[in-house]
Amino acid sequence: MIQLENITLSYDTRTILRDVSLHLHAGEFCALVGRNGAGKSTLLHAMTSHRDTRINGTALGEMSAERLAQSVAIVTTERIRIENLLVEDLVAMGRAPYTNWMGHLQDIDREIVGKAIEAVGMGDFVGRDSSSLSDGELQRVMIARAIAQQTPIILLDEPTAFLDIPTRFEVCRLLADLAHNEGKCILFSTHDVDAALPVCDSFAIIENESIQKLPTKQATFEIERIFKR
Amino acid sequence: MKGRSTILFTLLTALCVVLFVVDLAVGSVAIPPSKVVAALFGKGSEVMQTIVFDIRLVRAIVAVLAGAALSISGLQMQVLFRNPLAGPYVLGVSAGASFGVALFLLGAPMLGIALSPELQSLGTAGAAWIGSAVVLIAVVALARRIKDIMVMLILGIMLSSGVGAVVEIMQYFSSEMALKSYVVWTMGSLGDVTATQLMVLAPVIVAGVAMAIAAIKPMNMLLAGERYAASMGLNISRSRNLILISTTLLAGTVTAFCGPIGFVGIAVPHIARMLFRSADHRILLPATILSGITMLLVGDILAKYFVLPINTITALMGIPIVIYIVTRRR
Repeated sequence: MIQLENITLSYDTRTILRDVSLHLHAGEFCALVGRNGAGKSTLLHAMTSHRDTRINGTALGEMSAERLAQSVAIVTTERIRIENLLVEDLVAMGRAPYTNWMGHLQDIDREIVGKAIEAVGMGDFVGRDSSSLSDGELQRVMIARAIAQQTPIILLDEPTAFLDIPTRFEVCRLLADLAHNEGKCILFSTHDVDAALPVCDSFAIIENESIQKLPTKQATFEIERIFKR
Repeated sequence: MKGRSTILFTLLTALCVVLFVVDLAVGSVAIPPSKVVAALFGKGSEVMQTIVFDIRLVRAIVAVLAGAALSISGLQMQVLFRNPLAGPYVLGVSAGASFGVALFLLGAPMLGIALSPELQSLGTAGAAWIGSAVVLIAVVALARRIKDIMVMLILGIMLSSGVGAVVEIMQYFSSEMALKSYVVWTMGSLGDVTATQLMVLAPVIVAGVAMAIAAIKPMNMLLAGERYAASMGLNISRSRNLILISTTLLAGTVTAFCGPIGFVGIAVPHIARMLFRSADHRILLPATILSGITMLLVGDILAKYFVLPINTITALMGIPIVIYIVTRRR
């Protein structure tokens, strides 16, 4: 589905990841873990911008911006708080790669937006001003926006940060269902190993400039070693 | 929500029409609105027709165009910089225009060049336009290299201050007469535009508005920030250039012909947002245009009634709005 092959990433002059590879397949729910500054965000960014990243075999360098927008959706750490921007309209932004030059929504687009909002359990908030939502509610809406973009791949940068503990588990469960029921390939960076362990299929662990992907069962020991030593 | 917008659009359009007629009625000779309407339809005395058509109509049309243009460019800058206090002049468009005009009005007499009044007015507009265009080209060139939009904002402010300092030096060494014509230009005026100049002003504004319409979808996507907009397939640099060029055509041209008219660009988009309670630019763009026309027509009516420069009136109207915006959220 999405793969990086022997890629080296640096930030300014510092090498962050050296000669790393990562393969993820459809329906896989994978957590990206590592210490602060290990390169989680850098890796996520490279997956939508590095020209050698391959999506279903095609390198990004040979892919149009439109195709890419229909292949990968992202959820960043940024909290979007725009006054008067309705939940519905924020989610409808995800339809941008499919609408005309004025961004006119067809009935089918509205239906997809409605379903995406339902899927994250925010049905009662459709007409609400998105700037009045709590962090947890807003994070769900941003995930709904990514769902509405109808991409086979979704990348999320610390979607559980700043959320209370029950909400962290809910967001992880929601993403897991999305991967397992809809066959989406989902990679998310997190420090929240406790919330990720029960639901993830695999863990991509960044340590010492390299990445190691392990099935959840085998990952437990490694994570223990890295984070709790 | 849709109903609210329709009602507001109808009311604002009606208000614009009424204000337009009132603007034609107010002046050194007060004409009753009924006679203005009669004159517009080719009736009434010859004197009335001359006053309405030859003297006041151009000025009222300039007010409409300037109101629309300045407020659109304010809306565009606020989205592009994701900053509620951005306006058309933060990029240094007015600084560039002022510099051009200062060079022309203050510089020419220093070199001992005397110009006829017609050449002087045409030269002023031309110098202002070239000044803002040069700033635009510099800004677009910088925007290619500088990814951080906040840096652009700071560069714009620094540029304005730098130009202001140079202009002050020139003022210090200028003759009284040259100084006066420069200061009068900085106060802004809607009445100095001739019918011939309007033939240049109008098409450029229309082109700027057309580009603004083309930028509606990019502006909606940019609300979520450049990262998200790019992930949804938006070509960021192309959209940014489209918006920057549109802004310079709109704000630069108005500044060239009417002088710097402040606070319309900053304040009007907020009035539109508060009235229409929307963040969708398919609604906000027309809403901003109508609100901008309303503000500048009211400004022009007051300017004529009290015989004051337009810049002072828009400042006095706009500043309370800006203060309200920055204090409201606390």
